[in-house]
Amino acid sequence: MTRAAPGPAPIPVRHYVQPHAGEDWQGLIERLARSSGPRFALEQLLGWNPHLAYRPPSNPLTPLDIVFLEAPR
Amino acid sequence: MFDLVLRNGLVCDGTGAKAELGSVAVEGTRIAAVGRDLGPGRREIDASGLVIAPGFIDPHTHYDAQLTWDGLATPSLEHGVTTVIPGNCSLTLAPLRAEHREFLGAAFRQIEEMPKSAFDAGLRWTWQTFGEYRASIEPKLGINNAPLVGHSLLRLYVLGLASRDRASTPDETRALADCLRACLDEGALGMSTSFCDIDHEFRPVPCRLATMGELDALCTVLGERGRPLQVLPEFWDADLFCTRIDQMAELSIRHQIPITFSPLFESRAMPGLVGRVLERLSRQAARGARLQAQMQTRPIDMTFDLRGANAVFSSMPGWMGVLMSGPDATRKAFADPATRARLAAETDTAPMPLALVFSLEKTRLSAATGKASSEVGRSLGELAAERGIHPAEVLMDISLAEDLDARFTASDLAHDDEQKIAPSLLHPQVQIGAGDGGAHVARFATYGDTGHLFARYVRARKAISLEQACKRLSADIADFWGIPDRGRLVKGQAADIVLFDAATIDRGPEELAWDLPDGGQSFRFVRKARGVREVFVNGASVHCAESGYSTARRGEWIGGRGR
Repeated sequence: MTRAAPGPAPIPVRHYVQPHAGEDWQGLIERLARSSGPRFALEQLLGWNPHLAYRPPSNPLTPLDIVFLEAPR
Repeated sequence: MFDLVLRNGLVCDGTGAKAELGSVAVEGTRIAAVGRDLGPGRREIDASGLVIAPGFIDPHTHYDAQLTWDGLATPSLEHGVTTVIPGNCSLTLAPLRAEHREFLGAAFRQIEEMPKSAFDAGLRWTWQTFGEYRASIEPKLGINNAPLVGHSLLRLYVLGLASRDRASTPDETRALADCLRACLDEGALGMSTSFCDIDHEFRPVPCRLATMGELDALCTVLGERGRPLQVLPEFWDADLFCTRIDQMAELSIRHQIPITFSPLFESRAMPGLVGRVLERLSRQAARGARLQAQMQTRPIDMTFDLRGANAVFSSMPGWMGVLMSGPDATRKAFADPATRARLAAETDTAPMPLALVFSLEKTRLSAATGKASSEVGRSLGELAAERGIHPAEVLMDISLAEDLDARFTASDLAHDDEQKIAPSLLHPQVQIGAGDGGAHVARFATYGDTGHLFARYVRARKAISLEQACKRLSADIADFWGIPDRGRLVKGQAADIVLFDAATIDRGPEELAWDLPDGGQSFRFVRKARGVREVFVNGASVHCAESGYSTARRGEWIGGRGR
């Protein structure tokens, strides 16, 4: 029996990326710049992502983290 | 002749159908008949005035360790819970290589807040594989056990301690998938993962070093058998929670697996979060995703002392630094005027931790045996006004006077607005769970959420019918998780039965129990059941209100329904 294709995915609540394995903030910012999208400053990203900004150094970015690329709507 | 007949009770069969007067007969481990005028039983119970319902299923527990010394998962069983699902939030005790026991034990104890003395005294690490863990527990079970395998444990088993530092290689990803397959073969119901836990060294738990590709590979294995995934999302932030829902919806649709999020709760610190999450879940369900969030029934409260770090202060770096520095340094800090002032000021400005609404003024002194014992029961706000100092200074003064052994209770931290909660408990994308049985044992009593549902939402508020409440606690959970042959009072199903008084069922008050296996070195908070007359697991009476726990050990290991 074939399954019906799901409907279109809803628009993301906020645009986001996920870090690559081993990527830190600087690497992430450089990757975003290379992808010809808008350029982001570290302070800007930290401000939009308090769940990441206040982490201790022992808890760095991980590949499953969500990094929002826009302010809350 | 039947082995057992519960006669002339109000039968709530778990389907949600209107309850009717009738009887339930049991032969061996199975329900043999449901109806009126059933034949005689070797044991007959007059259930007049009582409800006969399917045993309740608790989908979010951390009984992994406790089950090694307590096969009854006390006190959950006496509340009518006949099946528990441990292994949530990426953490289990298997598969685990011998050289990783120390690390895993420290992480597990930190995250799930279990006393080291009890953990060390109760656990006999005789296993490495999931099957060996099962073999060590299964003979002792008086309650049914349907455990998940933790994503962090899979990574630790395959990658070793490197799992704390990096993603898996393609070969390792294949090995992880094989390891998960083996665990499912050996009796794991499904898998759990976490997007936010940190271990005892404040480092991410191993599963958080995975990539979405690795998670997808593991969900492929779950999909081969239609098995569930449990997820700990960033539950305090609506945008993050909804984004995780979107991600998990794709996995659910692609692999045709049920995925459950826990916890979801109402909080004045995050108004509107529950509504947004439920709306997102509904939209994704309409696309074919099988998603449910788990919501507990009880309000959130927490008891703490200042001997070490605890969640109440998790958003206060100054406090966390002091509390993590050890008792001697903590005493010194509390006695230093400059530090006291800094810590007091921090409580005035810190953001709410984890969507909890923490009020120092309303926090009560709940236990003290020394000079402060006469103040037990009073709030810090009241004592601060009397002494003309900041409530945080009262906290520090009392702790110093009691050599850091004073306990304080912060009540109604969240999830206390019953009017808002009631409709959510019936929402099709919500399952009643997130109870956390077996964890946080010295912070709060996680037991009796079932009784609280009947007492507050069925009886007091009349927001949920008796039939709906029974269905929500049994068949709905069995169906979502793919637990076969349980959750309904139907001929042929397992005879997991709870007999209770609908007029009095409730959770008792929180009390201390010194019954951990460390000979009284540490305690746990428990709540005893009220109004639950008798509980049967696979046809055996395991707890009776009059006589307590029996010696019956007929609990089964439930590995789930296969595709």
